[in-house]
Amino acid sequence: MSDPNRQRTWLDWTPLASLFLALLAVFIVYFTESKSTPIDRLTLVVGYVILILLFFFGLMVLFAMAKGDIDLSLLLSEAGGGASISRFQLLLFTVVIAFSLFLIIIWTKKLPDVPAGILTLLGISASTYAVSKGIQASNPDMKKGGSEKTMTVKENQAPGEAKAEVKVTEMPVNKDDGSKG
Amino acid sequence: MDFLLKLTLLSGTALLLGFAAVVVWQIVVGRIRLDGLLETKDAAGRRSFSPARLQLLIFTVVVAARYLHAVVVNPHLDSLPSLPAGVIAALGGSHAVYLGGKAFTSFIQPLFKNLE
Repeated sequence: MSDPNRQRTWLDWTPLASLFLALLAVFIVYFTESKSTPIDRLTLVVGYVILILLFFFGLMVLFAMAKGDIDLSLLLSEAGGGASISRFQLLLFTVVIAFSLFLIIIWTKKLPDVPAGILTLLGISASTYAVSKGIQASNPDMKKGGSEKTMTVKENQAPGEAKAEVKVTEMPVNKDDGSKG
Repeated sequence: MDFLLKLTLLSGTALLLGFAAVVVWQIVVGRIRLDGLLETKDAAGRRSFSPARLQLLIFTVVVAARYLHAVVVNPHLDSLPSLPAGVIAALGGSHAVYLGGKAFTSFIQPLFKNLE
């Protein structure tokens, strides 16, 4: 549900802008490619529309990440607090291979083969992440990761009465459900 | 069609670099926290420097940088560049050391502590 009191920003108009640009692309292709066959024009129009929609969806996600609406603060964190080296590695390998794939597709204009070595690399990285999570999950002390503090309850305490002590565990703040760890 | 390809190249590059820049920027300003990246935690919850994590980090950065360099230098390829079997074996070994260290601090150290 959207908040009715929320102020509108220019980002709210991006779906409308992408729709407008998509329609513009249709008209431009219709009038400038009049000598092409209908199937070629349709292919071109579909290409433009997909590109415009994907670009603007990507742009909205990008701005939401930059503004902090999409919370990335726990992107590299593990359940007990602190950064996770296996998450960091998975992120780095994924970005590098995605960028390499993109570069090759742009230069050769066809989908390249993915060698078994690369699949093994990603498999090793992802397996390490999974095993690491398994080790953490099987050890409740590592999973908990909070620091215990003892607080003394002073409210409604009669003079001479024994002090009640409460143990409070400080946990790292996690806006998600905590399952991604 | 050429214009569509150029547009795809521009927009795709802009988005990919944008996503990478946002993540790197958030790491630099501290919104994505990297503290404890090279530390391990024992069963008592104490943090200490972990050489296993350091070697894994160095190995990861070196392999990623070499791979990216290989693609940027020669992007006219029919397939993604493959990695030598030795590198994959070393990576596997590096991961085994990391997981072994983690399992040790998680399972073996508490056993020793109980024996004491």
